[in-house]
Amino acid sequence: MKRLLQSGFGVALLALLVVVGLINTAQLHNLESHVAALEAGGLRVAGTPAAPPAAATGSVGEKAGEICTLSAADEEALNDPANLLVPFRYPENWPASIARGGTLKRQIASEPPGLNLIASNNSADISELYKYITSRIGYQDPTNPDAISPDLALKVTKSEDGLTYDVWLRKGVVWQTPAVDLNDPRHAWLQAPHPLVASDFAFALELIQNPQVVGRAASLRTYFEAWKPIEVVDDHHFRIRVAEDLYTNLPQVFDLEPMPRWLYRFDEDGHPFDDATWGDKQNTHWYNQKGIGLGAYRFVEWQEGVRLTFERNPTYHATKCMPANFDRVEINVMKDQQAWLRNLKTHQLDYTQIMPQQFNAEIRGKLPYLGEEGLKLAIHDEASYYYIGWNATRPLFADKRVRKALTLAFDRAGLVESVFAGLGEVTSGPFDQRNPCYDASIAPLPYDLEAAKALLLEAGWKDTDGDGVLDQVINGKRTPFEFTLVIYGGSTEYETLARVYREALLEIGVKMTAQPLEWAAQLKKTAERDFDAYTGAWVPGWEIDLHQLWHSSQADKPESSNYVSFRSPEGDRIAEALRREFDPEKRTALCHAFHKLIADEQPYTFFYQRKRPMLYWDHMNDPVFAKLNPHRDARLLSFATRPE
Amino acid sequence: MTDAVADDPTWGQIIWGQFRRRKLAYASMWGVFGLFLIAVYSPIFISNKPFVWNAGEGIESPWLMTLFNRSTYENAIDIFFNSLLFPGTALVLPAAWLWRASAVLPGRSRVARRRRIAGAVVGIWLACLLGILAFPVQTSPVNHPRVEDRLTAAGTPPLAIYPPIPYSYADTDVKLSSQGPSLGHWLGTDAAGSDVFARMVFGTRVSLTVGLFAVAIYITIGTLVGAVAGYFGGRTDAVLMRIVEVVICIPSLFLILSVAAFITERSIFHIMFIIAAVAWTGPARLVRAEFMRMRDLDFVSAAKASGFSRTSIIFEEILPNALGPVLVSATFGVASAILVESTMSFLGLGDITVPSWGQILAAGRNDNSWVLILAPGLAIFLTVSLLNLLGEGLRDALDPKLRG
Repeated sequence: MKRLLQSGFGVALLALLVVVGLINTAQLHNLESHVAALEAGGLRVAGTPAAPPAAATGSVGEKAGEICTLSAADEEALNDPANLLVPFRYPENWPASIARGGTLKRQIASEPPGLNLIASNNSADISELYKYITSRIGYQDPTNPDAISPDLALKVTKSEDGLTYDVWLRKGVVWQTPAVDLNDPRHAWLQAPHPLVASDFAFALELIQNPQVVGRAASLRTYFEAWKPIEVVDDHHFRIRVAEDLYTNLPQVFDLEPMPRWLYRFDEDGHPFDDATWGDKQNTHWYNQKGIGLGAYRFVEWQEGVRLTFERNPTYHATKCMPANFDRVEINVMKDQQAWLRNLKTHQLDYTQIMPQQFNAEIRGKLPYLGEEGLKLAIHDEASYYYIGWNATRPLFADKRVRKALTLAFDRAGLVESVFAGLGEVTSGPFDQRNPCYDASIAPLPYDLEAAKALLLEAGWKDTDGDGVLDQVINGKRTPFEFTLVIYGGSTEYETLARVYREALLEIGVKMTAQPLEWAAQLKKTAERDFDAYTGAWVPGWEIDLHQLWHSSQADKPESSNYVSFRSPEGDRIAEALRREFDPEKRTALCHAFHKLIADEQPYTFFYQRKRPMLYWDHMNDPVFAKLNPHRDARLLSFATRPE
Repeated sequence: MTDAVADDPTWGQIIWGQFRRRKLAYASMWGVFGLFLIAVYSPIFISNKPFVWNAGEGIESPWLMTLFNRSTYENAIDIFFNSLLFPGTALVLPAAWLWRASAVLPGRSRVARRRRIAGAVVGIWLACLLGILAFPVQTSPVNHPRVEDRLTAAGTPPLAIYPPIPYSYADTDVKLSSQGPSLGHWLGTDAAGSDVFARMVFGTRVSLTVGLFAVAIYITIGTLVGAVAGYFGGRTDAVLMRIVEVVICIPSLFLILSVAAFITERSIFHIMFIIAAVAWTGPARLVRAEFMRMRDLDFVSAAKASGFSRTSIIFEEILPNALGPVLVSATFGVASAILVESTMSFLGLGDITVPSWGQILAAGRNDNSWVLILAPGLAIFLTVSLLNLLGEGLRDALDPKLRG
């Protein structure tokens, strides 16, 4: 009877699922029929100019494309020709008016294990959340990543020999109040305001370089290991010394974020940690589940699994040029990405990103969007590219003709158009397509099975035993061309990709088996070089450094990112030259040479650079997208009218 | 000439008679049998390999040649069912004739003859299956419809006779992705451009295999544990039952999902074993109860007095009498195993090389396509309902109080 009940319950659940699915679909179809009517009604599509909202309040008078300086001291510092910082300029598509205040509601797919910027793990989520809380030495122009304007620092200079950087900090910048009950006598030691001082930067570097600190510090260490300790000249002036004059030094100077020594060197009762173990104490520091910084928003509360709440920072220093646009920011934790669109429709979110298949099924070609009056769509580029990596240490993939053939057999354009909903561009090299480093004259290889067959034959792969699978004698053993492709687990898109690729490969006599793996398992396999091929993605960054992914010295390091063991003397030469080249034109020439080399060697089968659709309610201004991390910078989002 | 002696009705015959009187259950049994036939014979109706093919190089049969090709049929489930199709069918037909012919034999020798026939069929088929698995047939996995298109375009159309639905569940065509139902594709296509109807029909194989194998595994484990616990009683029973209780305590779906997450290289066989690993406790308790009831009955005492070994008392005397309730729970078990597999595939923890119903359902949710939700949903609903009706009928037939 119990069993019957169980399965009866199961049947009922499934039936319910089917019914709900049907209702959902029926609703969508209903909505579609309204589209025509709405089009006639003149719904706006993102990008078309909006009529200025009547209720706009609190506009500071900032104008698109205009320069803004925070203070007289800024102007003076910017007049110094040695200053590496440039004046801040509002983005060209900055909204005409902003209704400041209200609560911005957005979502995040997963939470970091903690909120210590350096000692907690999982850097992606942390850096996303800290975009709200923190400020850096300089503010990177979101639409022109090469321009950095004064933020915490007024002036940054570089010495003649390139080995010393001097940073002059702004005066009067104050750390946010910690999110604790200050009336509690236990926390009385935290009551006084703490100004930002140069030693907070020295402390951040100490944290990163201290081997006792785990978490994000472990990955940051590789970038900062060559730095000498920061020399504090006075409270508002410090000096960074590096071992070698490299192009990547400057971006790293700007990447260093200050850490409050007055908080993290002490236990909850205000007693300092001793010098031998303070690093270890960071990993379990009492404040690690809370955030602190100098940015436009202040951390209020983290309800685990529910949401993180930030509020306008009353002591924020940069209120003149780009003040906080919202009183509060609520970041809801929503693990089911399929549900984001539903949550947007029910006004639990102000804006959201959409999955490719959802975009395909519900939105593509159905603009203005599905009769949800007031929803607008914007599609933006992402800096990431997707690829299939071939393990060059496996005899199957040692020959570049084979790798080329495998690329030719992969219908990238067809997949992007169908499975990935047209949200992307097929790419041919390891750079962001908008970066000057990307050589647009190098076209991606076409989808051509005949050419692939010919190349494989040229590389000695023939079907000698008539079994339909190519083979070749390798190390005295007849080896059939069979391999396993590791794909992202739980992704319907990648499962479909694998099915399509498998079919195409079978036609040229190559047998591929797909193996979906969880992210952690895949990372382990790639780090240990225990794979034939895998699907992956990189965010190449704006200031190109080829060392991490492509230098042969990284091929043998077990944890390094040169998973495919790419080795090329020419590639090494370019990677090293690029690190020491500062002239933009020469850098571009070097990048282009590298792009050509990579296109010829095909260590990866480059797939596509992704675009992402974003839907938002029309009480928001059309978003200004940052070139690098389009969604991370809350300062670029604003309300056109305050939502009720 | 004398007629064969009419035997007394055996226990099996009584049950069969009772079962046949329950019309719904009887119809369900044929329904399940129908599903089984669909699973076995699907390549005859759905395949992209022509039965006959002549592109000027002589007549060949790619359909037959690829029946056991591990490139065309990636998963062992398909190889298994294809072996039932051929040589399975070829064995069953003459065997059925011999079976019939044996009806004229007197009681004992008829039973012996029929046993031999059944043994021979299963033996030959198993030998073939093992042979196929050990020495995989390899032929060219050319996509014949595409070759045909190419040849036709070149003005030399080949002779090709295809099954009625000339697609394979593995065929992809991104130019035809996510299409609605049409004459060419009855249930439309999915994101990869595969024919959904073909995937649905081949999904029957996955569901039935998972159901039957998982249940076969756990019934075996459960019966053994239950028999030992029930027959010996005392401490053995106490220890075994405590283990059973511990396993029962863990919510099964939760356990299944966490175990599945541990296995990085999941195949459909892992999924069967995982289901079996949590479900064996039910039959263990049933069998134990039956053994406890029967171990002091007269026929057991008689067997003991005659000096039968323990093994033969347990397995030859008591067990056949205790199997009734197990059989009933097995039918329900098949249904719930099918549901569990669908759930796992739906959650992305299934085997991606097989077209399972749960997977199609997940794709439908992803693509927001009603066909992809409705079709597998109904198929699961139908299969599970048929199995449950069958189980209920069997249970009633076995219950002496309900005999009319």
